Amino acid sequence: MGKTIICHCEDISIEELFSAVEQGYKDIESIKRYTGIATGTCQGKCCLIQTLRALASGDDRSSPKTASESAASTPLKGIAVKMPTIRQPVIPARIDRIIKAGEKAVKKATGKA
Amino acid sequence: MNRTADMVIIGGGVNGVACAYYLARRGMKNIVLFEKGYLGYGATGRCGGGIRQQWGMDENIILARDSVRMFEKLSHELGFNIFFRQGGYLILISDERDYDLISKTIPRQNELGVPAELLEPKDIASLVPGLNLKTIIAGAYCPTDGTAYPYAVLWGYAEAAKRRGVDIRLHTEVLIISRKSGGTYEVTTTNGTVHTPRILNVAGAATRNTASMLGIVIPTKPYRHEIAVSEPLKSFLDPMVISIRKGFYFSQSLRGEIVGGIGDPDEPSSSSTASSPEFLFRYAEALRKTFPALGKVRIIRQWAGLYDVSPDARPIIGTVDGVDGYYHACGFSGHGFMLSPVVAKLLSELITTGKTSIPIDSLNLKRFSEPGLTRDPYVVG
Amino acid sequence: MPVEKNPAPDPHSEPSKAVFDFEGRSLEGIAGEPIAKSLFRAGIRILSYSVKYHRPRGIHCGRGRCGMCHMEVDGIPGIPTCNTPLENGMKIRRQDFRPFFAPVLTAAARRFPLPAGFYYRRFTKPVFLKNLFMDSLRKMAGVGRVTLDEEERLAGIIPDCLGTFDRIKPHYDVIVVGAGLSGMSAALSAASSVSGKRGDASGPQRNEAEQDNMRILLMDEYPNPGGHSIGHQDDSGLLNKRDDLAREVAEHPLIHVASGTLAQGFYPPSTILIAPTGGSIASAQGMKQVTARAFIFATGAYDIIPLFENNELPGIFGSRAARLFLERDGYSLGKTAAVYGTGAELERTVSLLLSKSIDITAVVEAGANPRETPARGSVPESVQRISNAHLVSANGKRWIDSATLITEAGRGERITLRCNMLCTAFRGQPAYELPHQAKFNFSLSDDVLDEERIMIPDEVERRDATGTACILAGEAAGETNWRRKIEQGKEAGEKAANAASAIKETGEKA
Ligand SMILES: Cc1cc2nc3c(=O)[nH]c(=O)nc-3n(C[C@H](O)[C@H](O)[C@H](O)COP(=O)(O)OP(=O)(O)OC[C@H]3O[C@@H](n4cnc5c(N)ncnc54)[C@H](O)[C@@H]3O)c2cc1C
Ligand code: FES
Repeated sequence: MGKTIICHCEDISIEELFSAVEQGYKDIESIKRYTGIATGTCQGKCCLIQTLRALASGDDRSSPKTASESAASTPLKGIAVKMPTIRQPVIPARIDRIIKAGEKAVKKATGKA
Repeated sequence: MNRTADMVIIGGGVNGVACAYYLARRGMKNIVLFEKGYLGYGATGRCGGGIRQQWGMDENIILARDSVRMFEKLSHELGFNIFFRQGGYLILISDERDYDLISKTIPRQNELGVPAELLEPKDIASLVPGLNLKTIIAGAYCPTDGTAYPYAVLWGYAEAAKRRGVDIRLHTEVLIISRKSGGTYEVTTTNGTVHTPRILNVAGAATRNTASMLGIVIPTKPYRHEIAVSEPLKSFLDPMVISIRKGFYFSQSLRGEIVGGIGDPDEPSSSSTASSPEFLFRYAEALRKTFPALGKVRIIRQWAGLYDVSPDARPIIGTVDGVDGYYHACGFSGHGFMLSPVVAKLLSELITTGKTSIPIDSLNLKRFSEPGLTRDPYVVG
Repeated sequence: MPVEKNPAPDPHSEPSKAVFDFEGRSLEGIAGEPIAKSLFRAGIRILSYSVKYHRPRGIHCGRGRCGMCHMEVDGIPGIPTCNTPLENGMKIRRQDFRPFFAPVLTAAARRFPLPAGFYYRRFTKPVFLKNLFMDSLRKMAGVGRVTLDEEERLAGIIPDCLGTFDRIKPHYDVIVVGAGLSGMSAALSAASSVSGKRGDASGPQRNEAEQDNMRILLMDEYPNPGGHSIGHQDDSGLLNKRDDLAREVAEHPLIHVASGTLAQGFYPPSTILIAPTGGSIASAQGMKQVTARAFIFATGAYDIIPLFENNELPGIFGSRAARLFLERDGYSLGKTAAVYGTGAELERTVSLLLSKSIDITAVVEAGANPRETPARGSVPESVQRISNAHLVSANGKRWIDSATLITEAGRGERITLRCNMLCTAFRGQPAYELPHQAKFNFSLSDDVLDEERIMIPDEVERRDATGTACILAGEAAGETNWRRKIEQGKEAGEKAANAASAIKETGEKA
């Protein structure tokens, strides 16, 4: 225990986010793929905004520091806080339900004729 | 930025970063790589990561075979785990025509050192439990084929290249290339200008656009290909399963997701990378038919990328007559990821020595001005 | 005629018992109520474990979005148990199938955080170690399980769709996604603009022929219109308005109200993929593609749980989830709550909890400069308040038992509050999926307080080259005041109707 998890689907801690940035992964698309943040089952619905906030403020808010401490520790200067591409489907879709509902009407109609 | 370089590489896809690495390893200094987005913004970051040696033409078999040998050592060499996993490739055969072709090709693949074999349905059933074999008459299987994580390959090469001094400029687009007197090029980007004696054009589906800046005509066309990924599942599927006839493939990633796609033979050429609902319906249907148990699994994300397709679906690699210091590699027609280690290594040889350890003359741009093109029947899509 | 609904658990009908199997134990619950609620009552509160550190996870978002309550039900992996109705005879199990050596790795991982890129950077040599590592990773990875020996059970079947979903047409003038206050108001104003221009007949009855006349589709994933206006029990003005709007949209001849319909994605320029919600997990529901000339996204906002230690411990949830548990599902995850938040959302949540007889340990107001000055509303003075505090951790092993905060915005004293629920109540994050797919740009708001920063759309209206309009309204546009939401919906509806008729006219001329 005692961890601050920023992405619970992929179990990624806030330290991992910052260390990815330190390692040179500095845009949200690369950060996402390098750490796994926002690539889980929820596709970032629960973690993307915190990630962007953390990148913007450049500081791990869960352990309060003084302003100068956080300025010194921030590896995040110059990161563009941008929304990554949000793909379809919005909610995970079961493969056996990805089927055209309209086909029913068509089949019924031809069945009658 | 206003500077000179010994080499400018256009494109931060797998071919760009791999070439940067091999060139630097051969001692070339002062290499700059421009990528208009992030690493993997093009086809590499959108691809299925499949690596197979089961091909129809010698040229492809040899290049893919040598690539696999390189992929096997790559994690070690780069100090970066690229997640290369040799789960094999299983090609499903459902008609006599494919059966004839594949059973005739396997001996040649074996001669060239690729351990492919023909499987009967009952062998397929034990290799991949859960497949619907109703319409399957046989399978071709090569255990040393596999998959790698495309981003890890990109990052691994890029980090190793950076350690050897390569300057990788992300979010920098090449806008204009012009030839200057004295045999140099002026490359204008969104972020300054560079003068260089050499250019390597590996801009994926945009290679023909960057080539046209120098008056070079490349006859490739972009085609959108869509792909989707499921929620992560406990591992149950070892090989990549493909159907050449249907242009359909799926595999299970190391994270447990089912990654796969299906082509649409009727789709016209376009540079759109928008996803479509039609793809979801087609892909879901193909998956349900091929692997019924996957019906209960959920798709969490779909996306699309571009195949850069050449008239004979074979890559275009090498130099262009009359344009000194210019090199390119494009037209991979949907199988450029698997060839990248060897292609990049050969390009680095060509650029530094003028020769390659495997002949690649047959892949020169010139072939399109000569009569008669040969297409590899194993091309998907 | 009342609006037709997709079959959904009706809270007023007689509850019928359902016997189900949970990991080999036979338990009893109520058919039709969320599976997670029945499990909760039976004392099963840990619904999953996290993939890497094996941390316990419980019911959290209440909307099937977050994944913490996903379980295997009747052999189907990844069923969101928080909003899937219980059926008699269901077989339910957690999805954590770890090979025997995994606990060792997990224990190590729990102790030592894995650095970013760990997977890529460790064990690349020697080869045998790399292979061992890859094998272990492969065995540990993944959540759900696929049963391979099952027959092709749903392949190739004709989808059986639910209620109104079947009658959704392939094309509308205007599609409104989200039937909250702004969505309903948008649909009404679009309808009156459309009918004003075209002079369509109206009447309260609708038969099949009249269905053809419906030019506006108003859809919502929930079984009833009203969106997240549930849980505003002390604001009768809002509730009356909501009921009026719901009645008006239901009776309007031009509006097709499709409740229980989920927008699965926007595909530019003008297609939306929709799926029915609700119904049995075994039913083979299909999907539809619907097009329109104008779209209004009134899809509301999400809870964002701020960052603090153990912020995903079971018993922690957002204020929107609280409304769903308490109002829609009729149960509470605990008896004693700490509430952490700002502004109107905080006050509203506190009074909701109090109205359900939940003890409040303390109301913790975040930060010194919240965006909104709290209107204390109906919260009595006797409730303990701690202002300008910073929540630093939630504590507990398998369920939250206390929360620790530091006063003076993180510079003062450390206080630990005992509680078995922690509810965070901040301004929501506008649902960004569909707008982003429709090419809206977003920027991070510049609120002083980190917990209040959200991605807000740069504009509320976009038109593409074909003239198709996409308009945002309500909380999806960043609006939090309900009266303004209704106003905004109204404007969005007018704009959408205008855009739709402009395209129609160009189309007719061409
Ligand atoms: C859906 C899909 C699935 C695929 N599956 C497989 C598979 O399983 N196996 C396989 O082997 N292959 C597969 N491929 C093909 C494979 O992805 C490509 O052949 C390969 O990635 C090409 O790599 P590249 O480096 O040549 O090009 P790219 O990866 O496209 O890289 C080119 C880069 O150049 C950049 N660029 C373009 N113009 C400019 C400019 N003017 N200035 C600066 N930068 C520029 C682009 O942003 C891009 O990042 C698949 C492709 C797709 C689309
Ligand atoms: S919490 Fe990050 S993807 Fe779900």
